[in-house]
Amino acid sequence: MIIKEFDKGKIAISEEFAIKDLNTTGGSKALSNFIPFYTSTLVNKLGIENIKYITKANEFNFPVNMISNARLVKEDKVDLSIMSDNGISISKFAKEEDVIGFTPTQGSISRFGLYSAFPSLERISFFSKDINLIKDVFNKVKGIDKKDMTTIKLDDIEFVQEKLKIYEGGIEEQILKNIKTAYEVIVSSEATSSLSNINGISLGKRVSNENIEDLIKDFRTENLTYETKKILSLGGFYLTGENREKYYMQASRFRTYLRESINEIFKDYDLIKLKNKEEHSLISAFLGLPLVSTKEYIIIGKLKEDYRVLSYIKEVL
Amino acid sequence: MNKDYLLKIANDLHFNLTKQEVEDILSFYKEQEEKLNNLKDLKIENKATFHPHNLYEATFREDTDTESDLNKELFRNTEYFLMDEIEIPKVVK
Repeated sequence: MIIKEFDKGKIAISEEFAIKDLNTTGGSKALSNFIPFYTSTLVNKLGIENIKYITKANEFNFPVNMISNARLVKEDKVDLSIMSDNGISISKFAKEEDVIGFTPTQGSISRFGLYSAFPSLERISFFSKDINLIKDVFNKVKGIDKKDMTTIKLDDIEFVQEKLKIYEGGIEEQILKNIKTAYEVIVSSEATSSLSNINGISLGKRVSNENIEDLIKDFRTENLTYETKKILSLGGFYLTGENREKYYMQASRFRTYLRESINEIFKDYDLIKLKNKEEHSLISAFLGLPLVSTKEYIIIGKLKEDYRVLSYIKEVL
Repeated sequence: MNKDYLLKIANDLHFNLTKQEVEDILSFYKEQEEKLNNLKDLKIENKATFHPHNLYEATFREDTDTESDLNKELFRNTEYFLMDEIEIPKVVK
């Protein structure tokens, strides 16, 4: 079934959403022979007929190559592209390629069928030049999914015109100094757990070996890239023994500290507007808050107030 | 982190590292060490947050859902998930 609203739009998705009977590797050598027996909720809601490109990852094993997604939009090969954001990529490539990036409230789009590595940070996100199309597609794909228990209810987005109080001041120095480190600790720790199923047995191409321990080790040694091994090694370090308290728990406490600091700002303001910098976009990633990224700046809204960030951008662009 | 510790972690995680990979990871860690110490030494009294959904308690307002509603919703979804998606194997006689 062709979804009528999308007829005018050409869409790209990254190769990290499972599509039934189609070899979908997530850019990973480890999944080179993986053919999903299910289709991700996102693809089901979009309608596969509406997808023009599936962008391949080629840099690391799991973080998908965002450049392709942003560039397809920049060069007008598609009107919109969809991929998962790990917290940094959307803002980075919205800036580099001069397109609009939109990352909605955590849980508003089902991640069933998404190859996930950092579950507390990843969100399905969009690149486009057309804010109306972002709104329409987001309305189509969002919503509670019985296959993803982390999904939440969010009313359909309508653009509104209202007088907004926008915070453009600074962010605490202590937050800016530590946010990247806390992010790396959490990303590595979560990846260590999430990617443990890439073992050549439940997922991945099986290599022959008589001993199961050796089978897994041979498979992972051969199929995980250096970057992935680095992340997993560091994650293992942060979660081992006393380090768990020193690093992982401390990064998680930092997350609460950040939340309280940002909530204080939101007591008096509707939106936060900051320069498009890595440290700033991580605020949204850590707290699951809706985010619009442009070449110059990012806009962060309150939880579930995605309509406000989109309405603001529609007004000012 | 030193070489032996790193090799033990890699072994626990079921992969081998080449000599070059060990050097590169240790060198990356060395660059991070000071920042990690800064994070570790921060005086933060808060409890830990592990997932943005933990934010609901703090950010839900009167005109939005309550955490209790959210839990009901999650439970309902979970129940459906189990019923719809998991095929209970039949006993083979």
